[in-house]
Amino acid sequence: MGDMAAPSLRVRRFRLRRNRPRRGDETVIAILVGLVTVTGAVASYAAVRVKSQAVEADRQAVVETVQTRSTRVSASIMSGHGGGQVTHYRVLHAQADAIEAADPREALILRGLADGLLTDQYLDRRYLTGEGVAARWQHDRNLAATVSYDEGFIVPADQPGRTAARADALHARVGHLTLTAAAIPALVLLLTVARLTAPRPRRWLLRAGAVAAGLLTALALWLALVPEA
Amino acid sequence: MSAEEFDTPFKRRMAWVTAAVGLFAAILAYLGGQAGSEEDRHARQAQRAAVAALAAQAEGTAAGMRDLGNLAATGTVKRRHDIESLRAGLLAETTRRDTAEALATAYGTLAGTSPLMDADPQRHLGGLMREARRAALTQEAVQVTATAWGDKSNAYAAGTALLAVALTLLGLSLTVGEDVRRHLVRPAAGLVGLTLVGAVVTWASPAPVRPQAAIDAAVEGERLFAERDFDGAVRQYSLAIERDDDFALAWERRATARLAAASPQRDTSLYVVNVAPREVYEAALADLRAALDRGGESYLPLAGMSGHLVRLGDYQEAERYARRALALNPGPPLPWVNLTLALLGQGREQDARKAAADLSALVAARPNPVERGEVRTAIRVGADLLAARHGHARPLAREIKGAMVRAHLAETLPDGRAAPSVRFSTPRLTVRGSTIEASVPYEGMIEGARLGALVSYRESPGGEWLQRADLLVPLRWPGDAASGTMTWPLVDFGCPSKGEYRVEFYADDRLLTTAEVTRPATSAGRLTFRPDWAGGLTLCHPAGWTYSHPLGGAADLVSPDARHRLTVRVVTIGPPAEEARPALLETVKDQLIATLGVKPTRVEPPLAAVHSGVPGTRWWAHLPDGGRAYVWAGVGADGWVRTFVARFPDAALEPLTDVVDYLRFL
Repeated sequence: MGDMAAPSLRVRRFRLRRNRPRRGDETVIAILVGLVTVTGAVASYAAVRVKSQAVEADRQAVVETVQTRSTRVSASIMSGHGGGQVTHYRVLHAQADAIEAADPREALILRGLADGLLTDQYLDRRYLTGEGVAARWQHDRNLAATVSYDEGFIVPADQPGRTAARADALHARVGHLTLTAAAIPALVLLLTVARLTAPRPRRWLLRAGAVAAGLLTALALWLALVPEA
Repeated sequence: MSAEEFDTPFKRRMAWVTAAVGLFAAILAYLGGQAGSEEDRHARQAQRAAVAALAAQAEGTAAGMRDLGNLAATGTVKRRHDIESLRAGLLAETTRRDTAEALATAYGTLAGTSPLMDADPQRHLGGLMREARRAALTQEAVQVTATAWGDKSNAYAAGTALLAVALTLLGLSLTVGEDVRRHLVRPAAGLVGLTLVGAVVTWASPAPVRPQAAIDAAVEGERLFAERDFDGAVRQYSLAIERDDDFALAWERRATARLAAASPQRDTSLYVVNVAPREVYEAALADLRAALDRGGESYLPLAGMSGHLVRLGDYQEAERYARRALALNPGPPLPWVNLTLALLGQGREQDARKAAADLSALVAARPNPVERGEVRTAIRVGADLLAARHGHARPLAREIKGAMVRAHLAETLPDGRAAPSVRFSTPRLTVRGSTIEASVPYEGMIEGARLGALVSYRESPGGEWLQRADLLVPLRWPGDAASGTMTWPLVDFGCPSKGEYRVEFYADDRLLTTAEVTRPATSAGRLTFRPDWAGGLTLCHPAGWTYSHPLGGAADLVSPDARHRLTVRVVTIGPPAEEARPALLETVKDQLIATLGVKPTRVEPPLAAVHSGVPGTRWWAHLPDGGRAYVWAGVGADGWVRTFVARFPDAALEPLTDVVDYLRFL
């Protein structure tokens, strides 16, 4: 039954000959194939170019992360050290308070030593609240101020995140460009089917192919030429 | 169907071509794989360097703080020795001399506890960070190499994709008629040709590898910059660029170092350098352009370029770069400063006013008061510059400048009051040493009025005025007299040796009056600043003089010919009883005269004399060799004894007058 139902070689060759596109359709198909091919080349090139920018932004985000985190590590250690010295300062004042009545001159010397300690250790008194034993080191305020000040010389503390976000946007664009390039073989397949099919569906397939090729080309050009916001 | 029908010459050629393109694709895939491996290898190195950089930073800082902490611990012994020693010397307390000697011995046993006991702190601490800087720069360099290998790998992958499309087209060409075939074969040939050219270019372009010597030069540049040797830093960055022209960071840092080296603010500005010669701005701008070309869109070069372009008068470009920096990060205030000035320069008042308001709010929210002060100074200087250049910008420039002054005064005098009725008449300014004294007639004053004196300085007439954040001096008016004449001493802690001062007096944002005064050139020429903050004194001395600092609170100066000498001693003794002060003063005087090493032929009777705002007593001592000594001592109610002895050949006081004028007790 199966053999009986299958069309003979002669019938198939007849159908092929009957479905063979007219010369005009062949030219349209070839031009469309050429167009999408060039589009594919443009999309591939743009993908490489944008990928390079994305990787560059990745690299910059890492460099900035190292810079900002290093700054913060240093600031944190220095502020912690400041806190330690303020404790030392308070201890001297506590000793001075204890001997004030018995030996005021010695107490005065101890207080002088305590004050000299803050100066020698480059501690900014703006981050000190209270005096003597009541003094407290404002670690968080000092840390925030140091990090903020360093932004003028290194990069802003939130810059690595922003650069990474820019890199992500560029990577997403690479994905879109790659998808555009990957759609090209599908379109070529569509045009091949159009070439082999009967004249009536061919017309519809050719129209669909032309619209798709146009859209694809526009999309590729937009992705390739319009810069990332 | 015959065999010939399938085996046409075109199909045979296509078979060869397809095989060749396939082989080409395989080669590209291989090269892509190799490049990918190189990318991975360098990315791994970069990751390791990043971790190393962070660790080195933590290690270096911790070591620095350990050394500082140890210095602090031993420093209490040294300071105690210094105090005992000074007291023994000034007050003739022999028991204290014994204690001082014992403390000196004790301090000797602590030798080596901290390298900072002997080393220059800035240099030592900078040296500890050298490895961190090297690791950070290595990480950046290796990442550049990894990125380049990644680009190569991507290019090969794209080529392979294009060859796949070409193969598809060639396959299709076998199924169409001869007249249509060319529409498929030609694009395919074009793609293969394009891929071939691209592949050759990619293969022939080496991935950049930064020479270690370039990194070393940049590390040295960073060290010198941190030590404020800006000329040396410029030389090192130039060397780094010479060794690797693609070193974006070296271009960027050289721009900053160039400005710092050429600016008259090189010794005073911490944050914003806002006055330098035009050609230096041009050179710095060129460096930053080079950094941007090589390093891609980056915040700091963009922010810097916008500022330099304002200075060079290209306001539209300045605006463009400021907006590019703000697009990357709108948080920090510097690009807003440049944007405001660029808009002001273009005469776009409404936009400039809005940008200034945004900037003002942004600055107020910054947590660091030093940064706030310096940013406000930058915009004040910029506003002055634009007001001087363009008449149309003058009213708004003054308004913006006033707003910056008001913000500073409101911040530093939170309990001050607005004084809309206060008026100042023309003030009289006098300059002596580090002090500019203003005598200002006023009326309409109220208690607690919030006032400010903005001091600007320039070395030569017609030059640009320099402003410093610390020279906007706030004053909350303490008195209750509505009118009168006030004396307002304003201290410039640098050692300016000639030039002009301008003082602008403000009540909040309202400019009350302005006065200028010329500082006569010192006979000694340029002076060097010598602070002893912990000891409680600062000095300025001429070039060639020998400065020594034997103890905290002690400084000795000797002229090159050893004919002029200054000895300064400051020590705390605790508030003395009022009735004990005359005897104490007499003892101090005797001790100071004893330091002259010869018995004076005559000591003139004491007279009251004020130095550096401190009341005291002075004596003229006539020496056997014809020379004289000026002996001054102040025993303050605050418990501090402050003294100095100036010795000079008779009638040749001159260079010492300047030195004494610049001596300040804190």
